[in-house]
Amino acid sequence: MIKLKQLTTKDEQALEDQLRLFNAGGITDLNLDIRTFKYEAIGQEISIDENKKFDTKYDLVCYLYQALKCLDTIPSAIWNFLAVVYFKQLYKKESKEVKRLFIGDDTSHYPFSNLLKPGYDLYKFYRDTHGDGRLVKFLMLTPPNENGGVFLEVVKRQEIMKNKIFIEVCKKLFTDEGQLKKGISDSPKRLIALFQQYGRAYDLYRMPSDEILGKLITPKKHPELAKYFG
Amino acid sequence: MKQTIVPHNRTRIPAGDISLTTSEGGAALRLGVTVRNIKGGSFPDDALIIIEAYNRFNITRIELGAVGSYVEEKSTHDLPFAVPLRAKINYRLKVIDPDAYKILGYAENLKEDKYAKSLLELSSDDESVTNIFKIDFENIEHPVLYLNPRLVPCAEKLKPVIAEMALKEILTHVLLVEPPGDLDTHKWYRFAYTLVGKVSAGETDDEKLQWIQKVLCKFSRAHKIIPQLENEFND
Repeated sequence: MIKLKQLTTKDEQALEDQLRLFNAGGITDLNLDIRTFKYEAIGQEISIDENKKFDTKYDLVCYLYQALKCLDTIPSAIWNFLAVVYFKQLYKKESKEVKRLFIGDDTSHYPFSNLLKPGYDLYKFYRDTHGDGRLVKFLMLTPPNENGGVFLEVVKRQEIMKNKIFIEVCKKLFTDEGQLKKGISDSPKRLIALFQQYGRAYDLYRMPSDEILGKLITPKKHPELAKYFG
Repeated sequence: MKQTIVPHNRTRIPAGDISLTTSEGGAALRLGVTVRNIKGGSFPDDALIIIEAYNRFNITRIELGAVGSYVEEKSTHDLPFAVPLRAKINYRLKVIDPDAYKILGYAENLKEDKYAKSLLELSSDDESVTNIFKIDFENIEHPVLYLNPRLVPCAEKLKPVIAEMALKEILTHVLLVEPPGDLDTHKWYRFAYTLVGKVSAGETDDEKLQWIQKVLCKFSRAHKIIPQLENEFND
């Protein structure tokens, strides 16, 4: 077990330099070593298991939720510390998109492609607000180093991410025994577009999911989604 | 992507009938709402009034109650948005048919009566300022920055430099000259925490100065101060 800390400004600068070199092709493989950074303490004593292995993103965010739930805010320096700690489980050699691993200084946009924060936020919202984080499990059954396509579409938009009814409809249409069906391709994106369009006339935060699927988004009205109706 | 035309028959509610104010209460943001002329109009008594507050980081819905029982006076509600805000909050109001879930009335792009107070009040009416700026700390909770009146025309260009210099002066004052009773709830600390995390500023003056330096470094990077200046002066 190690104490939860955060990267120092110097750590982040060193990290940025390495990432820049990596993206420019100066180094072909990132191999961050947790021992090479200095870190600094945070206000609270929180321990995390640096050797814990996670099968899925969902397992990872459940674990982080238990560890971090006492923190009011989690600055990017803590997320970046966690990315270093679990680097081997998050890093994917073929992906050079650094934003997946580390949250940069631009705090004016939600870092939806990051491998840690959006999954944590999504789980935390459903756990804290609706009492059940398992509602969004089907979106996070990918390995920890991957963001599923549907997951990304959901966390890109706050009004979709925080709409329990959307999650229910998405689950009813696109899952089979708790797993996303194969070959759903752009259909979830289509469902999001329909939610946005119907959302101008109906309150889709309150309308029950069965009613949405029985009156608004039906196989007859939207044949492109017909194959997902049981 | 295929566009689905969804017919609706919503009544537009005049923005002038909705009054929104925000204030900070501890670590939370409070929203004050008053809706006028909604009762006795075209909406059924059981229709629900809902305010949605949203930005790139969050969305929250507040139920104000049914039209028939709505009392036209200011109600206040907690907004679960991290303070200080990283993006402006937008608001919209909806009146919903509780049975058919149809949106009967709406008002979009609502603005607060007065935008949330900025952390630092800016003034340029003090002729005695001979330096670039002066900060008046008479009210430690609400310091006022006086800009040299001769610099007002180029204030926009100087903004990044002044912001960083002013932040340094304020943090130095608050940490070393006149520390407030409860650091954690002090707005300038809360602002600093959003940049460097909730890390103690230290005990000794040296540690405090180092902490300030760290906050400034983060502030400069987060607000892209150097690239902004390069852009301003390389044109």
